[in-house]
Amino acid sequence: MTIRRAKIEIIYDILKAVQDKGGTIKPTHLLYKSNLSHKKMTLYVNSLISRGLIKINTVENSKVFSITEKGSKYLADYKKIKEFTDSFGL
Amino acid sequence: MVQFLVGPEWFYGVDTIFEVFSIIVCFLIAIFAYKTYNLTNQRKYFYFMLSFLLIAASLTFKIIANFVVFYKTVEKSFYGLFIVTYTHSFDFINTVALFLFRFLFLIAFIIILANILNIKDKKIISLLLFFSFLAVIFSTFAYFEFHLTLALIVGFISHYYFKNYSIKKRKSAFLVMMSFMAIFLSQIMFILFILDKGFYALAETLQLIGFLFLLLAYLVILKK
Repeated sequence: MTIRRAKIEIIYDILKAVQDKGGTIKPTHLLYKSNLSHKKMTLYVNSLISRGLIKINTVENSKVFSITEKGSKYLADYKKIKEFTDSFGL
Repeated sequence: MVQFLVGPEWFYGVDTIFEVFSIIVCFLIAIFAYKTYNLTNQRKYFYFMLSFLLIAASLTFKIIANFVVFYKTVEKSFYGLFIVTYTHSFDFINTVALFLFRFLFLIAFIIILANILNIKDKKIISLLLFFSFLAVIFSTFAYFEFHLTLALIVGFISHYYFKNYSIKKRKSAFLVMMSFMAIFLSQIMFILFILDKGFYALAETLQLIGFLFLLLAYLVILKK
């Protein structure tokens, strides 16, 4: 049986994928790494951009996503956020 | 007029210290919830922050109501056998502070319940708030109705956290469950106050233990 990932876990997976690639990732790689459908990934990526967790850059004429300082802070605080969410049943 | 029932005289002032401790714990949790909301942008964290800020605010009003009663008692003992006539403004402060304490405390726990049970229908939440308002304003037995309503709400929250702990099996989830169970028991003790004034001290102590468990849960979360 598969367990549905919570929103904070999906965000973590996306940001972790970007960080693991040295802070910058191509959309196709992110789609593969995040384990989401294209539609869902677009929704999440747009949400993360609007919240300042990732940003779009152009490298050699192709679009890439880069993790921001706020995004790095999210990754650093993720364990605490997860523990808080789980213990308070949120 | 709302009548403030107070505990044994030896306990005057002690409950205020308990309340101050609880307010600090509420602020710590509210700050953490706000930081999480800032990072995740999920409303549930915002509502969680709001509920703990409301608890802190309500306990502040309880301190004000306690202080009025405490001041009256000190003045009474100072004048000895003389009968002291208190000004209406003190009674007014006491009534308003007590109402705000009860109303905000109920709203806070209703928000927690709605948040964890994922109740999004505004009509249901409005109805809950309306009945809470009735319970603390128009009831002849406002004191008992307040603690009875609160016991029911915190009872549901405790049941949720019991189920949450059974699934998550985390130390922090256990502490959260214990904290709400202690707060639930404290409400029962507040109701039993009618039998003996000592139950007030027991209720306040149980409530303090509840907030102490919350602080421990918070510290466990911070260690991660």
